[in-house]
Amino acid sequence: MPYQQRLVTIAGYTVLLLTAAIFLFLASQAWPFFSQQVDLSFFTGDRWLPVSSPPSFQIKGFMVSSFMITAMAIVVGCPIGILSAVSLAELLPRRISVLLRSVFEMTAGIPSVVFGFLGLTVIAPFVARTFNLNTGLTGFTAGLVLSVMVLPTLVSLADEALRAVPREYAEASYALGATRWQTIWRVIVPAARSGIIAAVLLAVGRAIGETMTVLMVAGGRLTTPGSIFEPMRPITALIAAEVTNAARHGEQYHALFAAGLMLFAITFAVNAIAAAVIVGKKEA
Amino acid sequence: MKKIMLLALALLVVLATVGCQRETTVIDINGSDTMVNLGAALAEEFMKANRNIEVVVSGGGSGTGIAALIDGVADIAQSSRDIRDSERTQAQTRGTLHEVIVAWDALAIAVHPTNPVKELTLAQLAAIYKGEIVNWNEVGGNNGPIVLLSRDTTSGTHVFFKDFVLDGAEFAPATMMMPSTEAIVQELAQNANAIGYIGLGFVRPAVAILGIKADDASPAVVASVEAVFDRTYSLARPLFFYIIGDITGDLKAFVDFVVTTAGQQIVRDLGFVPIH
Amino acid sequence: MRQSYTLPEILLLGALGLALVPPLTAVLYIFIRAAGGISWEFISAMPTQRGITGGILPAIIGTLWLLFGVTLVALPVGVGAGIYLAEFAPPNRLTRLLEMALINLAGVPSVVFGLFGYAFFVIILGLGSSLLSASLTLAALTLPLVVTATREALHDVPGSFREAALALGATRWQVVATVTLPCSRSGILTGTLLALSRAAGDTASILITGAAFFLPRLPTSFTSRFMALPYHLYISATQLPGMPQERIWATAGVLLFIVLAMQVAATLWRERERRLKKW
Repeated sequence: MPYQQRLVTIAGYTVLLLTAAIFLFLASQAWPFFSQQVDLSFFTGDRWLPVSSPPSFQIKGFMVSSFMITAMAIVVGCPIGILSAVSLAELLPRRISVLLRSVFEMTAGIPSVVFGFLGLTVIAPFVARTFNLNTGLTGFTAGLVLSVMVLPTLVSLADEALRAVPREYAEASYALGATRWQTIWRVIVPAARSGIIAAVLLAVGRAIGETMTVLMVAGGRLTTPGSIFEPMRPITALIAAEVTNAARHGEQYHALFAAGLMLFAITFAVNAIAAAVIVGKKEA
Repeated sequence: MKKIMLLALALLVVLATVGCQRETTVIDINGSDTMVNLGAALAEEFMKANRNIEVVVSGGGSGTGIAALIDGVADIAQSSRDIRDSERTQAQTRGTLHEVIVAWDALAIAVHPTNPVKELTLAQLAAIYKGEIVNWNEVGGNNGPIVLLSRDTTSGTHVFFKDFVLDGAEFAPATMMMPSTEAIVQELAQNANAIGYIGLGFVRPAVAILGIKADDASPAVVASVEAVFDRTYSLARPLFFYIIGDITGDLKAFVDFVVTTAGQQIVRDLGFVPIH
Repeated sequence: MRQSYTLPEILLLGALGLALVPPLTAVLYIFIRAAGGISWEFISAMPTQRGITGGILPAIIGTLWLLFGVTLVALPVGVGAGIYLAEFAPPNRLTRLLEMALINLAGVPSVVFGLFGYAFFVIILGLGSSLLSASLTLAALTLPLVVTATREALHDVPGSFREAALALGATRWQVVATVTLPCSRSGILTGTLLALSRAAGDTASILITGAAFFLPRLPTSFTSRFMALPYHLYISATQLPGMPQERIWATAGVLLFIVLAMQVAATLWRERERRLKKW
């Protein structure tokens, strides 16, 4: 094997090494926490009191917050995203859709801190006034901004899935006398179903992992929220807000890594399901 | 082949830049968000007169600073709380720990300017933050839920408030943890029902500060530099520089600068209380 | 051919509009409000008074240094890995593992990269809070994007090109070096540019690995401390009392401009290349 080939092989395995390193590293820093705290209260309780004596580290509140905000982002983003992808893939002339695809790609690159800043200064006061809330810094605001943030990803991937459907399917449908509307909804979309599901899952992964926006607008309450309209703190914001502050090798530090490991595991699971869905479709 | 050459060239550039450093000393200051503006102002002034010294200031909270100090990542840890025993032990494994008080800070209790409530006793304040008093009309204000704003759990300010005002009790579960004092001020300025604790240096016309009474009988004292000096305002705490190892050379020059009149003038300018 | 749409289809297009309007208005709004604070001094001078006056030059330069560092690391490794996966990897279990790892790396939130970077680069490797630590962390984050871009670009090269080269007696590596790579070069570069634009805007990872709150000096080497645009925007918005609003908008505007400029450049380049290519 020429040395260049050896080099790229090494480069390839660096990716594997890096992923393994991140996982191992998270696990190693989280282990001291798990080895001490063996019960389920880590997941079922919501008393996160790092500076009390005795301290308490329970992440239910944060997990519920992550779930609520992600759920809202997906509930708002999915319909709009899928319908937009259908428009993009099926209804528009090619030149316009090529342009719009590029536009979506660019909006996907808007930094999250910029969205966070907009959320803070424009969206939060608006939400507070409109819904007559005590404060605009809520999970609702975060979910709203997040839905805008995941839309480009969702639309791009769903659009790709729709375009991957072989043209023969549509042609056969038209040949049988179906209208465009019928062809779209009875033939093309069902055929692209697994790709669309994968797109949604990847958007979920993106939403769960979002940090800066939620740090700035979700409100920072540490307990389990009762409704989406309350201030809350998802896992990502917890980590970003506290990890640099935590005394090294202290309990809080290890607890935060445990939360980080949870986050890694959840996004891993979501990505694995998405990949399985895609592979399942390929083999079909 | 060309790619390898380019790579080698790039590596050379990197190595060259790594080696070719100006003879500058870098002083890394890390820590308290309450103090980060003060640290930056002191750094800025100091660097004007000392072009070969680079003083880098980062925030993140008192806990971060001390952690960075213990890890050897920072030279000075700014802290708005006392160093904890566990931290002290860890620090002392690396050398002698020095504690320098560089300023005092009055913790003002702030509300929205339209809030009719003008004063609270310490007991009422504690009850509010513990979640025992939940409506403004319980303390003489309008009918409205009290929105609790606090600094994050590892902020030195948070710890001070918890120890001193709440007497170690827990904050109410509904308390909102804001990423910085400035964030608290911003929310206070637009939320008529909010209450928050902020360093005196962060007070500005957008918020109103309450007079604090030690108990029902005492007079209400509003946070101010004078009130801290003559000890009538009780919610005051020292602000520290923590340093490990000998304080010599450029580091000493900076610390000296901070505690002299020039440095203390900056302390005053930023709304903190000078040490003398 | 004029398109005519039925009413339900118009609603579908409405959804598309709904998806496009928020980000586009956001960008427009930011640029409009940024205009009030932008000046030559703003982008070329050092910050004074903790950043309340003066300019944001160190943040801009810091971000550029970061991007330079990311390119140095992520480009060779990412392109190499992409080449391996697209051209050489045998279809076995180990490769499947590699693919899974790649998908997961792409999904790891940047805050987790920051955690990893802090404890590994800053503490364990002892690199401290420096451009080096932050660049390496960002490079790890950007890696999957570069790998994916490379793979897609290589994938676009028709198989017949490879077959022709092989028929002429080239070794596998020679095929890649002389045919496949040159043909996909522009695709790889535009993909990398897009990946870099994401790195330019990331905050969570550099927040943890040591972007400075205030440093009115330009970095001199990779071991220097640094300021960076996304982090500066974050602290301007949440931690600097007395910060005039126009300056925060202006900072957002500068960051957005740099990111979008990179993306527009990459997109235009890619479209031009696509039109010139005859396959």
